[in-house]
Amino acid sequence: MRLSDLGLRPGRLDRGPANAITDVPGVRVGQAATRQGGSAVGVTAIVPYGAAPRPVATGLYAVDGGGGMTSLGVVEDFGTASAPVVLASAAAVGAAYEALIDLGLSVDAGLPVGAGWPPLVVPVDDAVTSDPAVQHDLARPALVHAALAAAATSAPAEGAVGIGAGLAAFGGRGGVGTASRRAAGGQAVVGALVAVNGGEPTSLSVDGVPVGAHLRAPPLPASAARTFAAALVTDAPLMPRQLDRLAGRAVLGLARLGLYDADTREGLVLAQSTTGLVSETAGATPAPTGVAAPGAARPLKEAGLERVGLAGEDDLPGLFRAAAEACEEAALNGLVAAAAAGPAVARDGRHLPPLPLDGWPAAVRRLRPQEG
Amino acid sequence: MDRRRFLELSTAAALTPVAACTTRLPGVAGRPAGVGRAGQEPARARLRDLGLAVGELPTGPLNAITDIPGLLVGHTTLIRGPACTGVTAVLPHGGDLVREPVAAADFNLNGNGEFTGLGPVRRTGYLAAPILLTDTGSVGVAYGAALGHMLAAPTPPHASPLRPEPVVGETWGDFLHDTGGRHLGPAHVAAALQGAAGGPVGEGSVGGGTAMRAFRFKAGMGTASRQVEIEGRDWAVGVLVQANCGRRRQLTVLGAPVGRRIDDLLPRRGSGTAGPAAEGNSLLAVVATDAPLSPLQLGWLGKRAALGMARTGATSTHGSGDLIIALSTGARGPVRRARQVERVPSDRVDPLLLGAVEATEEAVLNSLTAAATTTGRDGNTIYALPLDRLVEAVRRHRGSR
Repeated sequence: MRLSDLGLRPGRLDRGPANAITDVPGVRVGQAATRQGGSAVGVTAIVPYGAAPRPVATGLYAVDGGGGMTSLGVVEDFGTASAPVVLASAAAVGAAYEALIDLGLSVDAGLPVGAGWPPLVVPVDDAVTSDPAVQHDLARPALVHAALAAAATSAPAEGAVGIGAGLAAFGGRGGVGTASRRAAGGQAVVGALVAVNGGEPTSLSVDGVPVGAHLRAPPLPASAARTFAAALVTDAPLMPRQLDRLAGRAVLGLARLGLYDADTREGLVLAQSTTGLVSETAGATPAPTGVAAPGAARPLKEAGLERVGLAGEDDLPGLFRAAAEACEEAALNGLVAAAAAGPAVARDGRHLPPLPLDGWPAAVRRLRPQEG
Repeated sequence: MDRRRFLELSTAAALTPVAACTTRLPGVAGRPAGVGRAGQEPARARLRDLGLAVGELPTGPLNAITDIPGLLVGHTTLIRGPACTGVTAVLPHGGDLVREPVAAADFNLNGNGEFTGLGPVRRTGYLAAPILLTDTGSVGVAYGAALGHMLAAPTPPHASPLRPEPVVGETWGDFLHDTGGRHLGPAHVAAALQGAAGGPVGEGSVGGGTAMRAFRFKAGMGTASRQVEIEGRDWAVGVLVQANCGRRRQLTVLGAPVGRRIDDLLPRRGSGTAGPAAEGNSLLAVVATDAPLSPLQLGWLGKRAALGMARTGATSTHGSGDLIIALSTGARGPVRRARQVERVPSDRVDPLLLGAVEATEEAVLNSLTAAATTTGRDGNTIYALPLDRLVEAVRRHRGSR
């Protein structure tokens, strides 16, 4: 089930065809999880580079330091990443890193930057229902390899799958969700995938309606994980600095539903462009927003120079809005899908029920009687 | 007052041997070097005039930041009574900077200094405003005057989503200059902006560097450039510094421990007592290239200026304001619409990085060889690096290896 099945539709921009991060041409997503008792280790891999690893323009926005991510040196200094983006349970970072080194070596034994190195692992602190010692035992490179092998251009599953396997949010089950939006006035698509983790129960807001006020869940204990992670991809040709700004605006979408608020500990938003920094082949005419063919990566060298598409400053506001809306709906989709997974119990004994979604449509209608 | 005194007071800008872009105070015809305040000598020499050369790359034709085509530099120098200061303006080009900004990035090596206007540069990766270098007390007037200049331009700053602001950097020159006296005025700043030109660039005790000292020798403005080849095409990298950095014992010239050999000629107060113990503490650097680079790549270039400074011995102390801005005139053009841009591939930038290192090292050394002994407020004096002893120290160092 998705948010749209409840008749809810935050924002005003058009959705992409499947309302998923995979609406961005060439993007693949693969997920895997493993469980033992009440513990789970989950992985969601986003592969933005198309056919073969190559430098993909990358920016990020770190809330309070960002909760840790590998490959920071290259992302910050070069503004590129050539490895899959792997959201992983925090206890599985080492295993994920190993798996991505394996992948990099299979591409080029010299592990050059720009051909699958360095590994980009985003840890998600999900030791709520899971025992981190058990997670540590469960975490194996094979799990990450399975997620990568499963990567496909079809819309990814949502809810308590992949990185969403053991998340908790707003006093109930958390999960992974995805959505997409078309930037106003252009051809570009912005897709988002969010690991919905954390969030104070009373902070939950759906399309601006504070439904959390009705939730009877107690406040989160101090030990609760309160870190989220989000990945954005767009086919607009943004350069790293512009992607940093895009990621910063996406956070506002997460603030709108209450996932990012004063109680949030850390969070990370990664933003990538499938066409930024990509040299265009001779003769190609860019679309108005400069969208190049996906996977077009043969450099055009004219006397030592390369030619790349670059989004205009005037294109950015439309993309910013798309990022914020896509993130907001992706997170809500994650919550809606996780509600179908049934209840869970936190290690401290707290019950994590599925969120009561039935009240959402009525609550929104009450506030906006004129909308259908 | 007699004519000679009048000329002494008002032709301080004639300290440099080249006149192309040094603005005199309004209303006074330029006088050649030689006329100046008592205790002040004319500008002296460039490092290469002494037979000394930094690094291995060839220089540009002028060995100056103005080897970047279209880039303009203007100085106003003000030495009068307790005032010993000035302002240096750098314009990436003489056209409409807001409609056609240049790609740019800054690097903060040590942050104890001011460089206004970097927010828009960091946010967008473009510079759409002039750069001004001056002394600490003159930042406000420089900012205001530069803003006036921008508001009068064909495209004012508020007409662009870039929302640029004047980029004004400073170093502390209080030993020679009455910092709080509000001596520099809007007209001085306007003169530097309007008089900015290509051609040779004045060095030493001119413009923003008028009161500055490095390694406790008189320093100030310095410049140098390098020519590099990437896949058959030539590009220029040029650096302009306002040098106010380093401790005496640290001064290293082409590996020679010059600062340890020349331990006299320390700053002196007019009262006869020794100058302050606190030593040099800042470097401002503008690194420019005509190679088309992205903002991120320009960040790499800016960082390398720090390595060039380090070769002169300065170590960027906690009290330093070592601030660098790098820009590319090759990445110039309208930015509001989606477009295609050309740029140097990232794995080909190394020659440019080397050029930035060498040109910064040489620019700092040029500020020392050019600057003449200067006396400022209260009779305080900072002595010039003696050129004969400099050459001797380098020769001895080479001979001893």
